[in-house]
Amino acid sequence: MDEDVTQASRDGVEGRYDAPAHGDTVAPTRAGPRLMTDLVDVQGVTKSFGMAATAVRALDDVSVSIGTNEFFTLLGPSGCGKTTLLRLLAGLDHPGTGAIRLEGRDVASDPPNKRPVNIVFQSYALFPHMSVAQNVAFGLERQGLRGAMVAARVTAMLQLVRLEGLAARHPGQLSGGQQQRVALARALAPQPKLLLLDEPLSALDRALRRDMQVELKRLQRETGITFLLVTHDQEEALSMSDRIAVMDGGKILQVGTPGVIFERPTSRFVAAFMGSNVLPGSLVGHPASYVAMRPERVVVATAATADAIAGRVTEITYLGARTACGIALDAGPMIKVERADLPAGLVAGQAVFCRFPPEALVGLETP
Amino acid sequence: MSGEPTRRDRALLLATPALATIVVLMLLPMAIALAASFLTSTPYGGVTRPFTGASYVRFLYDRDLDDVLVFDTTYLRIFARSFIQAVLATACCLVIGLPLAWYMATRPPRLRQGLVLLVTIPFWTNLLIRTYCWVLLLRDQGLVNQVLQGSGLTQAPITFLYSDGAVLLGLVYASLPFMVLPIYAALEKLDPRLIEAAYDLYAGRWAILKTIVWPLAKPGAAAGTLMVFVPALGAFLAPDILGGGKTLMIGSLIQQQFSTARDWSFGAALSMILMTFVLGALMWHARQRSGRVLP
Repeated sequence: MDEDVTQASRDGVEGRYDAPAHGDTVAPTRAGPRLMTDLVDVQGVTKSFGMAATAVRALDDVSVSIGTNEFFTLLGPSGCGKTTLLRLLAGLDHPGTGAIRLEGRDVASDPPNKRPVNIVFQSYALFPHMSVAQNVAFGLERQGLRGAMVAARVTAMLQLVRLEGLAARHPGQLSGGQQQRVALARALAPQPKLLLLDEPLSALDRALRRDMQVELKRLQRETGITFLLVTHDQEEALSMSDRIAVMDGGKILQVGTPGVIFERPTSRFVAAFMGSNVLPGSLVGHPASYVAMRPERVVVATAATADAIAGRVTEITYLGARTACGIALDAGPMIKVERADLPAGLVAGQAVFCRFPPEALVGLETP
Repeated sequence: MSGEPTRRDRALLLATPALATIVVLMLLPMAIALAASFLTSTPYGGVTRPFTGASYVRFLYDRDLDDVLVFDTTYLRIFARSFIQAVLATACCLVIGLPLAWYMATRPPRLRQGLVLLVTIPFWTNLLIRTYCWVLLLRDQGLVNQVLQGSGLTQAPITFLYSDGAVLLGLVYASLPFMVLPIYAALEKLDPRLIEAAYDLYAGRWAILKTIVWPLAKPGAAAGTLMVFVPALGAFLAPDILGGGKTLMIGSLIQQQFSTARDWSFGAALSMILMTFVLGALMWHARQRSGRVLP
């Protein structure tokens, strides 16, 4: 049954699509040989929790490099190991095996207070008994700075996150968004080499989250500090990152620019996680047994054409800028379509014809 | 005008049980004690008129053979001794209670509940009985001496009982849960992320303890200090049983006035002086705290 679909699409593709044409539809990338020097180098890191017999492997032979001044994101569902990796980088947990190098030096056994790495916690973890200024000054004072130096830096940090007037407040007197900014200022104040952000926007409402995405990008640009963001939110990862590493089951499945991750997934998991349709099938000149197709790229018509596949609309959801449409192909699989130019007057149950533009089909390597 | 009760009337009505409890169980006994302290004791217990301040005068002065008032420090010394014992007991409870509460608060949640239960188990038995148990342990033929001699550490039994040390031990033993529980309650609420955040921001162990853990445990420690210090100041079980009544404490002194000495008026006056002292300490404590912004 399933083979029929891909047979059809392959027929349409044959002769025109011979090799995976990476890059042509993708924004300029920094994948491949990067010009930046690597700040963080994680090599073969494995981390298990629990007793030997019932141990859960949170990280399974993970290797990744993060460049200086890069905005790098670990993206994956909850339990994929992304937070564990972040805690290893901070020094709050120690790897079972493998090396974590910071500027070439192995820091795997260094405690958190000996690493030039700071965290913004998901819950912010602001010190409730200290004022905003005292919170921001904390790391500086622990590094041995005193008096006017600290005061000047705190003022500069509060300006950077636009909280100038709130220095004397206590965290309990701030809104969620303001607390978030204090947490950022506190972590940035000691000028770490690497800033770790653990789902920093998940507690904010949608509008605020948008603002903070822009804000985080600005902060990263202005401070020149390498940011490592952990999130489960695809949109967040795409809009902010220079590069994204998609994780699942304790492994990094793919690393690439947002464009590559979004348009050229290499595995079924990444394709599905980024919202692509995943269909069984193969491409000419490509060892794929599954192909991915973005819902935005499927062409839907009410009249049959030569290379179109018949299906039936199962549901229609108006999203404003676009309309989402579920289609059950006659050959079996369900696909999602999301376009602004769907034929007018589509209703559930209606017969439609879908065309998969060959340049939009991506072969998936891993099963 | 309708007969409907107003909001204010109803509020008063609802507050009646609480107000009645305060008046009957707290204000009334104190008023009686205050009145008794200004009356004259009868030889077989009880008080009678005339009103006089003689009991308060007796606290500071003694009459010599010529019936002249002479300044006398006997009772002041008893007060001072009790105060020092209470301060020592509170300090010991803090020193033992803080690490214990920290240990309890950092265990996994299920173990924590068990540990809290263990701390409260002594409350299931009467304090009098528990204090007598210390006599059995500490006396010359008691378990402690048997173990010491049996292991060859000492030759002759050591006399632990009927000393200030034994009284202190009894006070600390009886008060420790009152120190541990409030500190535990404060520490249990402490978000472990705060410690991680401090650790991440270049704080070492001592700095974390000083800047994060202690400030957040302080309200609990303050409550515990009050709950240990005030009862320890007026305690009479441990001084009587473990101190053998050799060195008088305020609690024992007051208790004696109502039992063997049959001087209710003086007993009431002593209670009033003790209470004034404790209230003064509380108000000083409250003033110390009020200047600060709390989290």
